[in-house]
Amino acid sequence: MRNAPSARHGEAFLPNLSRIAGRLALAALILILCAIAVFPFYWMFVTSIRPSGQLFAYPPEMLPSANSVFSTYVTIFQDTALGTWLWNSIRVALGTAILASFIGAMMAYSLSRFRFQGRGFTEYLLLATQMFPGILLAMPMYVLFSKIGLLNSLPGLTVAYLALLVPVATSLLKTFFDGIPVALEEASLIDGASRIGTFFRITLPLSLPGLASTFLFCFIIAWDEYLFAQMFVRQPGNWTVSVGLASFSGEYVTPWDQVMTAATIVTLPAAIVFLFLQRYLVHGLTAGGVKG
Amino acid sequence: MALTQTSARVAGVRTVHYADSQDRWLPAVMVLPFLLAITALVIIPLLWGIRISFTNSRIIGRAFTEAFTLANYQSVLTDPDTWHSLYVTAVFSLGTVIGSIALGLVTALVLTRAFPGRGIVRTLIILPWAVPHVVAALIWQWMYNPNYGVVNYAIGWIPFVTSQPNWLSDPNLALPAIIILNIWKTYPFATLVLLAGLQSIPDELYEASEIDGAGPVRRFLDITLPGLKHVLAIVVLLLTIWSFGNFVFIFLMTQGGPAGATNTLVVKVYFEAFRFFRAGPAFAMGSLLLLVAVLLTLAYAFIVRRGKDA
Amino acid sequence: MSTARLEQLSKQYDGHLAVDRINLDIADGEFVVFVGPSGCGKSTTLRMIAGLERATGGEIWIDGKPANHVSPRDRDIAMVFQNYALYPHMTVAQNLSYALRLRNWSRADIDRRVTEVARSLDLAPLLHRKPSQLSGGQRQRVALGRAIIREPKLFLMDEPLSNLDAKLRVQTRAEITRLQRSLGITTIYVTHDQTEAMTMGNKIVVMNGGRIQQADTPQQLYQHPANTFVAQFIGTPPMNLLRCRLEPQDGAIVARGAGVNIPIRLESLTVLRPKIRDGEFLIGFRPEDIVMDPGAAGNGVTGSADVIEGLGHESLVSVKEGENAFIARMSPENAAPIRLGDRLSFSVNPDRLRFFSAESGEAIRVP
Repeated sequence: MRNAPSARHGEAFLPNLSRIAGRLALAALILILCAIAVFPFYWMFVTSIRPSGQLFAYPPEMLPSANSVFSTYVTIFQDTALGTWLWNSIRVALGTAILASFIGAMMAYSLSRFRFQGRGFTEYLLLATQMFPGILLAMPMYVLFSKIGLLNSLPGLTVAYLALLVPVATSLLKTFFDGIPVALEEASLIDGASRIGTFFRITLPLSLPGLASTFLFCFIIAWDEYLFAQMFVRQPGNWTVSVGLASFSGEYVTPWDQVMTAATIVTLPAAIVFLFLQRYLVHGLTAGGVKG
Repeated sequence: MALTQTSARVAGVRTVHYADSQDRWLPAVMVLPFLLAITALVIIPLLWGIRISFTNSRIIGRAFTEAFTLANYQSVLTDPDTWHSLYVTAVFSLGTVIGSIALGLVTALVLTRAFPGRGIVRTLIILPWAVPHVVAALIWQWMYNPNYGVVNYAIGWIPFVTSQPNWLSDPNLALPAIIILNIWKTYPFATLVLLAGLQSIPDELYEASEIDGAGPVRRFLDITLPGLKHVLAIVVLLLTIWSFGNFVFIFLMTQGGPAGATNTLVVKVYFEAFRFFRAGPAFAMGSLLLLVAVLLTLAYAFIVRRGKDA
Repeated sequence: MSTARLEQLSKQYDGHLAVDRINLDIADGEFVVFVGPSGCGKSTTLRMIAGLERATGGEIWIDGKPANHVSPRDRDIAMVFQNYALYPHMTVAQNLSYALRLRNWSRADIDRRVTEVARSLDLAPLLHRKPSQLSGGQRQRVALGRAIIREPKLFLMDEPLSNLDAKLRVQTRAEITRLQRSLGITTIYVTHDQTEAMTMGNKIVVMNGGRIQQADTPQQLYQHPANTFVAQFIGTPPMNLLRCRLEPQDGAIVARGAGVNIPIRLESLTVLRPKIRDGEFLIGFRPEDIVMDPGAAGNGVTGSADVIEGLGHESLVSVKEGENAFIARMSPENAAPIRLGDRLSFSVNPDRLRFFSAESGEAIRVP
């Protein structure tokens, strides 16, 4: 223990001791918080590379087994329909993300720049559709889709997702457009560009990061979605990855090594996108109520 | 438009038009796709669902007689299961809100301090939010496994605890177990919002109160908490709304069981419609939930607006 | 080069009149400054001239042609915005050449013109930077360059100096004035700062409450304000206004009020009297138009010293008496012996006395 007085702040001799104790407590707290966040992921990954024979050992091994197997990451594509499900999810998510971003961008720009009647109601509708429990929309939509034959198809699911994602895309993009000063567009109009010319030369280039973030976020929501997917699509061949994943459990003996391997594969793109977007999301998801 | 044109005419001057001809049709073209999508995919289905709730429809998607009836609402409101589900939903939401905000506040407070590796810690803490819901449910199902799960293994380290609880099959434990999962999934969001709130409190306030002689506890009570009031309101409402509508976790982990211990309202609605084929009551309950959701959203919109004006 | 004309120009927002039937003629090559407190309608007027806001009543003429229905891009105007509005994704050179590219100028012509403008504004070394890499003053010069590059009919400037620090503002003020005089382009400039208005414009338009209060040269505005608003808005410190009445004294007529006792000339009285009869009115004088004069007790303004501010090259002494108060400008030497509470007397330069109606605030011009 060093007892040298730290003259800088005029502190007494003793606080050094309590400061070290405080530092240690903070460090311990940080470690615990990290463990809470990360341990389940660690456990997912460790399980995914465990040889199936050692899955049901007790007590469970905390560290990766000495004879870890990565082969599950290959065999899972042969043993299960994971490849098909991933491909289905990619198609649905790409389709909805493109459509939702496009429709949302036009609407968001209008909300941000034009004044028209019903603006207030539209903004409430935007918020409300993001807040409603999905099941309230899913059930009547299911009835309507069954009447017009859109059930059990990936295009049908893509259309259904627009109900969830167009409002999300619109709100996110509106906060982006609001951040682009109107004066820039006015300057361009005065410099001799038309409205449409201004949109393509000034607004669009400046909102590209916003469009990219919105597109990625929509993609991830569609990637993650489970309720609509399991209600609207019954044939396993048309399942998305979340329905496919969920189908693993519920069998008599759940093949946890395979489940966790698939889970890791499904998590990776979502996690990467989230880490990139987190700053925008806080602002966007709180309807601009909180600056991220 | 109408207003300004009339008043211009009253003033005896010629009516005015848009300076740029594109201004006339452009807004309509840009709003149209949105209106079409929202009308066809949100408004019509919601109205359709409300209509079904007043009929005697049984199997979803089948024909129903057109007769108007209030029987569905009567049966839903007199069913004790409905009130039990309401209770379960309330416990689930309240538990999530309290746990998520407590954990989120501690995390946010730690993250406001400067320490080496803060950026990395911040990133790690966002991970639970980023994981797909189905994956989160599967991981925790595996961790809760009564025989081979790490949770029971960890509990074995606690002195004097010898039992190996069967988390998801025990009526007393299933709901808390899923609440814990939901807290884990949502607290990163609470952390980020509260962190943003903490960082928006000006340092001068802390300095001023320190000069006025306030200790750390007083500073927390007098400056930090009032400064967080607005973001706290936002987090509480959002977490409530999200928990209230959460379907995936309960559906995948317990299907509302055991013995209805986790049968929240949304899960009950789903099973009414798809397991018991009572579409009428299901839609009646759905319509009531819609009403609750509308009220919560209005409350939320109000809070956000008040914060923006302030 | 061109003229502009506003006829009964009005703008209504949600039932509230932001600009109320204003009329103005702007001559070729004139530098017109709109000045007034925030919310007075000066920016809205400018934006209507630019075509960014639609007029809800009245006409705008540019170069003798009606412009209400012409889109901004066809009005051949250039505008400098308060926050410069530089396109953040373009370099300085691209910002400058944007308008030329939209008009399909040839590459060689564009390059030549950009070089010219960059040289005249000292921007040559910055041409390949983005706006985010520039200082406030440099951004300001780019915004100016973007306006002058295509020699428009009209320059519009919306508080272009308000984001600069005090020293740079004075410097840029001179630069804009020099630029405008050398290019001879008709300019409309909006500011809330009366010093800016006085130093830059040939014609100053003082606005308040959506109406033009007075449009005149800086000298006329300072010497003959049209009403009490202009009298108090122009000049630092503003014109002193003191309440008084006409009363007979020793066979003459004096203006008398708290601390005021000023004889009124006969020829002034003939105009003044019918307008105010026995009622109250305001007399006005600038702080530099009174001199300390201990013998002036019955023939000037008096009161006790309330606040003394030394500015180094001059001193401002606030004097109070009853309901009236005024400020005197004097040399530091004269102010030095004054203590707070001292009784002070001043004589007023009779040629500089102004009169205003107490009810309407309108000036009463006397010979």
